[in-house]
Amino acid sequence: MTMAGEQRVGKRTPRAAGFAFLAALALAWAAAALAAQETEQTAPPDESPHARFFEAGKAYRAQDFEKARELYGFLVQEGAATGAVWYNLGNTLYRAGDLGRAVLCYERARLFIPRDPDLDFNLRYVKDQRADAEPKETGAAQWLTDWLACASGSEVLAAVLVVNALFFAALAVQFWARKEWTYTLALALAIVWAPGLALGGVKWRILADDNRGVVVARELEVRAGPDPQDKVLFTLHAGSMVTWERNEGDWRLIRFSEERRGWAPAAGVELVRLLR
Amino acid sequence: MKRRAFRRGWIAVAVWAFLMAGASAPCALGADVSIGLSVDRSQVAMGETFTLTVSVTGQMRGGRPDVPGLEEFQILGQSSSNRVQLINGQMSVQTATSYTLAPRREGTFTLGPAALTSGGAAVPSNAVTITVEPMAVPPQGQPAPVPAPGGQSPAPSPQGNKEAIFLESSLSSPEAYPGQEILYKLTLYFSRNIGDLDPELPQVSGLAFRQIGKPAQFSTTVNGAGYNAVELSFGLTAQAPGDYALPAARMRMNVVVAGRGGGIFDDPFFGMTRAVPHEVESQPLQLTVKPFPEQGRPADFGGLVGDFAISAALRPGAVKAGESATLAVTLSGKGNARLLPDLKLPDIPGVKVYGDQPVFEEGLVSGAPGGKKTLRWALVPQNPGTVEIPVVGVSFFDPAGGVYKTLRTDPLALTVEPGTAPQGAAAAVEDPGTGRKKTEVAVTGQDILPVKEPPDALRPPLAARLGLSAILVLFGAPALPLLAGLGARAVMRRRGRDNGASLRKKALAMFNKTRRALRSGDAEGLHKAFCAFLNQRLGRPGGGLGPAEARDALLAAGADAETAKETEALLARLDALVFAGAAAGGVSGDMAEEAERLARRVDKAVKG
Repeated sequence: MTMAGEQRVGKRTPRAAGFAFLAALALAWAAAALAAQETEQTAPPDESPHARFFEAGKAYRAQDFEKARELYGFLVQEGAATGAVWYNLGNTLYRAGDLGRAVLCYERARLFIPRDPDLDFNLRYVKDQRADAEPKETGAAQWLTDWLACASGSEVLAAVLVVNALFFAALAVQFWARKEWTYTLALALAIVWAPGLALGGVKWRILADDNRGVVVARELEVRAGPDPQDKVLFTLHAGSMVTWERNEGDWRLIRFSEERRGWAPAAGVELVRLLR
Repeated sequence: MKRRAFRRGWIAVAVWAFLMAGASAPCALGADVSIGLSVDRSQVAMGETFTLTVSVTGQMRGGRPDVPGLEEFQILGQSSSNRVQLINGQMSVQTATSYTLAPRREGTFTLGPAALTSGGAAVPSNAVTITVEPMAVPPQGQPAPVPAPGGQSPAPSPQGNKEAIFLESSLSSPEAYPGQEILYKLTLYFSRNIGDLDPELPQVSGLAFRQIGKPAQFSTTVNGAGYNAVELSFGLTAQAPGDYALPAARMRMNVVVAGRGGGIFDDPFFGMTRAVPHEVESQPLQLTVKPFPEQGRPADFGGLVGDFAISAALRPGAVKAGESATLAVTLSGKGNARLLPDLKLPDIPGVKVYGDQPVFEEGLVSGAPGGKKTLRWALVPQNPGTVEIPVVGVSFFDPAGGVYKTLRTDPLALTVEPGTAPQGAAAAVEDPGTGRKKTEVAVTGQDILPVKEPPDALRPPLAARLGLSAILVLFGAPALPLLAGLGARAVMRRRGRDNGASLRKKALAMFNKTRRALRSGDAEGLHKAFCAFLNQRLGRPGGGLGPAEARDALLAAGADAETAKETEALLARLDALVFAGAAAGGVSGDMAEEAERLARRVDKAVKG
């Protein structure tokens, strides 16, 4: 009698406790999210960046590109750089005649707003003004990089968080309910979850190890070594995309194509990456 | 056997036919045929020899190509070699015929162009120029005596009073300008068997040597004596003005001399020779490097010294809008051609310009160091009309005249016709849906799109809004319910195990307590209590327990056989008292004590 009674209690207690714990965690999570949202909504708006942003837009329309550049530059320095700020700064620099840095800013804007049609149009247009013919890179790695470039880091992060939450929720349901449909759901989400997590990791590495650089000097002599006396191997022009390999003093080892690789003054090439 | 031999014969014939067909393919198919002339020296003196090589590619048979100008030289020897290569399925046949020539008189002569007939068409070669100078003067250096067979003492040369081996150095000019590359020649004359040549150039601060081409070998006559000679050519460059004294150059070698000991084995016929180290040195030289004149120095002068020419070609001269034409600019000449600049083509309105990698070739030009640089641009005009190609050029210093010169390309124009996709012009097209004629929207201008000012323009990205810690929490939190469930289940299972264990441990105490509460002689009570004790202690569900069942359960739980047997016997007796009508006797005190003692033994004997 006694033993049978204890066994029934032992079966009921973990399931009830588990559901209670799950519900408590979900509530806590939702509360934390709401609190964060609340904090965001109730935080006093910092007007100065917005004012500066719109003032820069006015200066741009008034063709005061120097002032617009300065104001957008402040926003970048203050850490308020978004896709729109980089895009507008790219426009400003192009108007000011700085083709190299315009390409650089558009490329940085593409990290935030990769599918923006205006950005796509302007970047194509500005790249078309470059003097150097860009080599075509092919291969599976390049294809994956290009494919992942269609989504911003924020979008990939959100997708990974949602898929991760759904997957573990399905696992928890499967753990407690053990129905056929919960098993199928957990399996289906596992199929999405594993590659999703992997792609999220790849995207993170691409952003962190983004070695793309843009030639910002009007004309850049690329030499055989990190010394002004070394032989000039080839010359690049503003806006050309290169791959940065490493630094040595004030020199960067860059690669324009498989056959064209050499050293250039660091000031002549700026990296696209924003993560440090 | 006969059939096998017959088959082998067919295979051999087939292989032979395949090889022959392959070898004759270039001729039979009229493959590309080319002919080229080259000489190992472009300047010779009377009495010297040089080698002319006629290279024919793509033809194995046929007559020897005629080389105009060959009659001016005496043919001292001739040799030929054939080379067949099969690269990527294409067979290439190269025949090289080398002539050892000696000039008949002084002057400048042109050899070639040679002509070869291929498929009814004449294929011309290049031409080479040879300058023949007066006979070489006796060397001014300090000829070293040749080691005697004994090793140290001078050996009599074959020419008696003349030296058998000597080294001569010369400069193409005693004066130069900074950066100008002049020719420094080192010529070793020898009439003995020598080998393992090891030259040592003079080391002078501020002067740089660079070997040009391969060493040339020839025969010559010095003061009426015949010598073989090896000539090494170097480009010599000084970086700064000044007077430079070039010390003697040295040449180390091994001289083959007859073996020591006398007798018939001294005869070279028997091969008794040995190599004796030997060294000769040339005469010192003087070089004066003059500074560049300040007067008339062009702004774009970059240190280029020599004699250069520029040419430009635009092909084709007329294209359609959107199509490509190639502009090629060639800079060539003798001098420090390495400093030939990568010319920049100024922006051309309405034309996209794509520069190609410059091509630089270095070599001897008319016996002096020089080179050629070719720059190419692809020009893609966007609109119809005439495009004026900007003039490009370069400035250099001509040391012969002592003046600066500036080269400029000739003005060129590109005629651009309307393209297939007219720019800025409307074209009539048929609407695929309705079939009506429509006007294609023409692009009349291009510009970037304006700045963006959306309401959320300054909204930070998700990662920045959340922060790393929040991202980690959000990433890990969904796993918590599952982990909590797993943990709870593990705790519950453990607790269940603990409950069983504690009940088993308490079984004996409960039995003793129950037994003491029993009335004396209550066999049924003792039977129930003992069975309940065994069930609890063995972790079994409650209920009756037979003697044999109890024995097996105890043995399975690790109890010894004696305890199991005694338990079986006790239960049998209790069963008999309870169920077989033997209850009249009841339970004696001994039986109750025996049950208590046996319960203690069971408690100890059962593991767990």
